[in-house]
Amino acid sequence: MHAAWPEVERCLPQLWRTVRGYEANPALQEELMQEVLLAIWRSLDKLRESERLAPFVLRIAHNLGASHVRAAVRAPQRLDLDEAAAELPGSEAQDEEMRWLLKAVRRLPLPLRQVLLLQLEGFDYREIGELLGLGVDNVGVRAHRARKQLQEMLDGRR
Amino acid sequence: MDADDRLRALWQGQSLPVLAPAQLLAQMRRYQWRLRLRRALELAITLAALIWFALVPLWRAYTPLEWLQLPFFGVFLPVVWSINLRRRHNWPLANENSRVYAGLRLAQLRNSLRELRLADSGALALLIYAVAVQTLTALRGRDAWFDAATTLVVAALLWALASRLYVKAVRARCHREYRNLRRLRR
Repeated sequence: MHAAWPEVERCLPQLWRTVRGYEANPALQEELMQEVLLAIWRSLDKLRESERLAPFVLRIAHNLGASHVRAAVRAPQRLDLDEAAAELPGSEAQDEEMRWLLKAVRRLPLPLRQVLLLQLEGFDYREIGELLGLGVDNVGVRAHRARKQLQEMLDGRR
Repeated sequence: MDADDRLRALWQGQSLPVLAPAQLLAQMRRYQWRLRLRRALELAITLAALIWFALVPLWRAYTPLEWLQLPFFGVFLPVVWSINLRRRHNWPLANENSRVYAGLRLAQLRNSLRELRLADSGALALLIYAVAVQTLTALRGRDAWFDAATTLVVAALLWALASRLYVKAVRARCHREYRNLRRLRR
């Protein structure tokens, strides 16, 4: 096992949340998660000492998330209530707000979704720019558009 | 707490699937083993075909069906393996930044689409070859060569149908991923 693997395990919550931003079906989330972990496993040798692990693994998760299209082919487009309940186990199945956020995030176009997901994980514009290969101004514009679209979806819901 | 902080707290507070890290690692290893098993299977089938065609002449003459298959395998195996070996370079690029990744992946997808066209044309070429052989053998009368050619036509037809279905499914997936990633390049 690679020396950095225990550190990767500490990033699992962030990885799960990222995967959930790309895939609604719980079974396919697990499959995508495995692909992400395998890609991380294979790429760990390329991790530079100076580089922090969280941005490194999240970059891989976002890249594979953007490439992940099987859900659209094999799973239904809309998220029905049973599926949503399975995705949010226990008492959180009733958590309307969280369910709405997950659905809204997945409805965003990819370039906006990536920026928003990283922002939700606590990264600032400069870090997001480095992760996605964008300028800080561009990140700002995308973040603003993402929030605006979320607001529009929220207004449409009310 | 402003709206951004509230949204962030909501996002980070979601309950996640309960999977012990060891369990996840075991799953991931199983996934890796499945991939290796598939590679091993591909290699085993290729080696079996090569060994069969190399060793058969040592104890008996080729049957008509084997003679008819030889030209096909002579072209098919090198093409399939050249595609297969090029595919192995897909993994390392996932750790690049998203813009670079999208650019590299788009190039890979264009290659994949070309390979799919090649696979489709290959199956069609085999079918044309089989039909041509059967027509030629039919002119000679119904002998062992004609029966072998008929078997080849049936196999080629099934192969062409299976290839068409596979290519159609994979091509749709490639196009979808291509459209997704092209948006990231803008």
